[in-house]
Amino acid sequence: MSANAWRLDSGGRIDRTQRLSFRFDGSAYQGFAGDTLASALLANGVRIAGRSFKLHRPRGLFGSWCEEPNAIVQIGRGADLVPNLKATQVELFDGLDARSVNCWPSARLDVFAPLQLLAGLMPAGFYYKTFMWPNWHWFEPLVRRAAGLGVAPTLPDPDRYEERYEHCDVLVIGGGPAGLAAALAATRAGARVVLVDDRPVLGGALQWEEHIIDGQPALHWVNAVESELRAAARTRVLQRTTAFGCYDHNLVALCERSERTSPTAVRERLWHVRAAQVVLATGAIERPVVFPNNDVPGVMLASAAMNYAVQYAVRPGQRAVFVTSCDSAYDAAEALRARGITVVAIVDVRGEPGDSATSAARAGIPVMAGYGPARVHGARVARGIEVRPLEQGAKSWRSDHVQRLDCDVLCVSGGWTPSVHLFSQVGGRLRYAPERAALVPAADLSTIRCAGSASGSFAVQDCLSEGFAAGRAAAHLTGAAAECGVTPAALAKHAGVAPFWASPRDRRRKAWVDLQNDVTRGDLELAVRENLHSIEHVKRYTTAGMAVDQGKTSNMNALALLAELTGRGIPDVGTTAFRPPYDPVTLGTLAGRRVGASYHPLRRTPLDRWHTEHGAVLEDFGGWRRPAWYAAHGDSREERVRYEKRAARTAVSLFDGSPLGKIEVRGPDAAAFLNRMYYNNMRTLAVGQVRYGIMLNEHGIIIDDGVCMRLADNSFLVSTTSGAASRIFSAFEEWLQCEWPDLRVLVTNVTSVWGNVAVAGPRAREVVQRLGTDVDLGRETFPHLAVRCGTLAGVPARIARVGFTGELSFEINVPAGYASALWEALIAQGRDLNATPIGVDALQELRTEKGFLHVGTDTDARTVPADIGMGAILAKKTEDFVGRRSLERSDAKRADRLQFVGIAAQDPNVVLPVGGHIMADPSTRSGSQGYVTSSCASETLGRSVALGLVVAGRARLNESIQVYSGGRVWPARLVSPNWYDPKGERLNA
Amino acid sequence: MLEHRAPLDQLSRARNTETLHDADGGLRVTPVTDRGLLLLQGSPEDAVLRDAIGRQIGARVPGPQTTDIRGEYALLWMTPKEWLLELPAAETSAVQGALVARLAPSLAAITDISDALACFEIGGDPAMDVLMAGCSLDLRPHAFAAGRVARTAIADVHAIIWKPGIAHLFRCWVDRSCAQHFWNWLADSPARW
Repeated sequence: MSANAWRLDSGGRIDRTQRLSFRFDGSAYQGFAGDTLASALLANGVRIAGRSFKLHRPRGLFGSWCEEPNAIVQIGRGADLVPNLKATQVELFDGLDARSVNCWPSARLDVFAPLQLLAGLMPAGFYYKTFMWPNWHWFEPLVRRAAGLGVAPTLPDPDRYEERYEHCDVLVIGGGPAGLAAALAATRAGARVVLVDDRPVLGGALQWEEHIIDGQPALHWVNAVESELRAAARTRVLQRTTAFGCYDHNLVALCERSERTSPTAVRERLWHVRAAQVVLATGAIERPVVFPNNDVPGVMLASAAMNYAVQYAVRPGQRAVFVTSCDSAYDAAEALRARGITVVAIVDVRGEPGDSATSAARAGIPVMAGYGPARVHGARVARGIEVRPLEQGAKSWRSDHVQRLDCDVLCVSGGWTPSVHLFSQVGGRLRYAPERAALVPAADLSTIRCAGSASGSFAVQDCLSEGFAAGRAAAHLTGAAAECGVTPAALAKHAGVAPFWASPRDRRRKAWVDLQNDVTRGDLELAVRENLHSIEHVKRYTTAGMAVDQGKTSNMNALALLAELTGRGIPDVGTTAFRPPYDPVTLGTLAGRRVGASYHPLRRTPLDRWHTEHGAVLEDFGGWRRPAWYAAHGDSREERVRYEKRAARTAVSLFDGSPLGKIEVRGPDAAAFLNRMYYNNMRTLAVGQVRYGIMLNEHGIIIDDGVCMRLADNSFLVSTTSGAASRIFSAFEEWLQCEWPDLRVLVTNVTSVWGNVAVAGPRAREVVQRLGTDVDLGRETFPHLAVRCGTLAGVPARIARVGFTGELSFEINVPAGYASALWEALIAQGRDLNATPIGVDALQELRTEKGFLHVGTDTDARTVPADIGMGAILAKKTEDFVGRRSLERSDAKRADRLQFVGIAAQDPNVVLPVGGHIMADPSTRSGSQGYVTSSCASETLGRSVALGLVVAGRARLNESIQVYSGGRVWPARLVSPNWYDPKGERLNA
Repeated sequence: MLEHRAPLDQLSRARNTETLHDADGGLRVTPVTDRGLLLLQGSPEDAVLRDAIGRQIGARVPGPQTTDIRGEYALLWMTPKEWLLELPAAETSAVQGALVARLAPSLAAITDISDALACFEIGGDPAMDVLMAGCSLDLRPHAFAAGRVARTAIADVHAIIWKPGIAHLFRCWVDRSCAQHFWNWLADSPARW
């Protein structure tokens, strides 16, 4: 059959002057601008658009927009590949390269097609039963390959995605008759309005349904409204934009797609809209009917057939039969007939269809009232349908008389299902309206209202009036009350419907409920036989409604069939919840510009530029970008770290400590406050002195450590670990504001005010002295654990005799703007003394040698002070502090707790693996007695060193143990953690 | 005497840190380096504190989300007990000293945090749209009028944003450590919506 047998000679809103070439499953085709991939495929006579998810049955186009369950495609190749698109929503562009999914090599010739012969072996839940033994994970890769909806691209996405926040008075979702009317009223009332529509053109179903609105053809009205909205300064119209999530406090997430006009343009944009009022004019989705073989290509929704014929000038088939339980299908039949497509008959399950049938008959379309669909003929394409007379109520056949109607397209309509997804996402309740055969919103929410088909009012005249009223009411609630003009009116159309979900049961043949997930009526029956009666259970067991379309065409039928099978009414079965997204959203949209270097903003120190220019290997340490080590002269990491450590031990090292947390605590009660926050006694700290302290949470667990400096009577500077500054600052504020508002204390986080450089090593004093300072750096006058404020190199400085290396050390704080010049001056002044910048890796090894613990590395979420050898302080401190109560519990005093110790490998050349377990009997691979927490080689000590947490460790010093890791065992001995300079002589140098 | 350097000078490698213009010339992003910042902490009920602020800079203690602008001084509300005083950088330590002296009897603290934050002026017609690509606040003129201030997140970092006047101009303060990220983000912004 030639291509033009499927494209109508005239009509449609396509641009016949613009031919577009595209490929589908490798074959070349042509379409027109204005086509979707789906309409272009139909216009080329492509009937098989995909293969079903489980059984690889051939499937054709079923819908014409987001409800499409069958024609899932992926487009593009390589980095440009986009999976999981619906052909019905892909706007055709020149060079489009689309492939069907879940089949190979093509949807037409799928090698997996024989799977459908095994359908009997794969009922609902078959994989739960079949692949249980010995382990589901053995089968998972195979099953994943056989079933799926496309492949994910393996290359980074080259496209740009953006994000945008927006605020408005009235957000109208849906650009059909109800939404346009709502946006019009709200705009005229003077509100700030955002109108969102997911299609390329406004109007919704008015694009293909024929109506007269305000005395003119519907599309004229649509154009007039669009012009008025676009001209309004306070109204924004977003097309190609899907509202996919509705959240608390009227936050609505939108995905705006670009027109693909240029390859560099933003591809998709994520909008976060906060609206005072929301009008949901999201329309309704036509519902199919469940009957034998209802999945054969050629079976499609009546509205889709009409959409293809009217909007795209495509024949959905050459001979059409309609199966319906509602009036709207009559309009579809008439639209097809008017375009020269033979309408063989309208099969109406209703015994007395009313006026619509009379008009159809008058137009020459045979109407078979009281008949139902018995089965579809055809395998790869529909060839005809058998119909049978129904009993009143349509629950059983009235006679055995079967009539076959030949056709190649079967248009079905079982009524309409309101698109209440967004309403349901924010907790809107539904009720069953039997006269509309639909679940409709039970009541509007205080700031969210539904209008038109979304609320179950399917007739166009009701959509207009409800939409207009909703827009006006929403605007009024935001204080916009200008005159809105007259409500648009349409010539009334019939919208009658009778509930009809499925034909009487034919046990010999499969009848499909969920096309996307291959769920049949038999699967639902099986679930009920297996005693699954809750809709939530049946959904999960059969997977009905669990495909990527979230059951847009299947939920309602599944619900109604379950009600029938369990002898309940539809309201008693209830509904499942809808969750975002309404329609799938790309990960790129959610990521926006948070990709590559912008993925997560790492904080940078004032020395960042120097580090980058001097070969630093920068890594993420607690949210800060810091040098791990400085690559130089082709040294390996190991060589360089050894060199950096040697500088600290024998000469002088410079370390960028700027991220170190710095919190000022001031006020008459500052000492009392810190005494409560610290485990250690801070009341007795003298001015100019520094004390190491640990902080606990209320469970007595160590949460941070650092030094506390008393700068003046009422002024302290608290130093926290680099990652903990905000956390500890917040904790201070919380205790002050919530528990101790009586304390006269002010806390200030000054972490970023000060740059920090730690100068450490035997020659440290010399280097600092060379910069010039009014602070007396003498060994006696400025001893270890003292702090002095003064000037250094002419700028204000706070210098503390503390450090993490175990060497003579000066931590210098200067205002951050001076930090880089200070660093350069120290390098210059210390050049002859081999002043060497060191990274975090070297520092970690230096402190491991010294036996200084690192909170979070050498402690875990159970460690209390006694576990690290600081139990004695508790007895000496009389006042209360955070965590004190918990330290009195028997558990905190158990002798067999994990305690902080050193671990010496028997072989001094062995660096014990961090994470290796201390085992009593490694052959059993059970009974861990703790683990290695820090470990490194030490040139200074001439052997490897390690720290760890070991059961009752401190009572077991010198005991031989075994360390187990990854199947290997190393003999070792428990020792004191103070490997290096246990007397602390070097600190006091 | 050591050289004092602006945040971006310590952070960026090769990037031009002069004013940033978008392709259409509408957007202007300028790193501001001549403003100092004093953090004032105390009680808004404290008459000594109100008096000290009044006498020193002629300003009133602003209420939530507002500012009091007096010539070169702008006092920005931060929290119920914290305010930020934006002033010419050169005056910072003198004003700090004077305020500390005036506030001696009170439970109050004046901290020079000029070096903790980096300041950017974002101006031009697209300024609001550029910021609303990464800030959830409603920055439209009727909702964020001249003199409004907010602490919020912009481009995933903590920021203080305020509007000095009715022009399309916002002033943003971000942590010094995030200045480069913020600058890069602005440079990569959608120029026109």
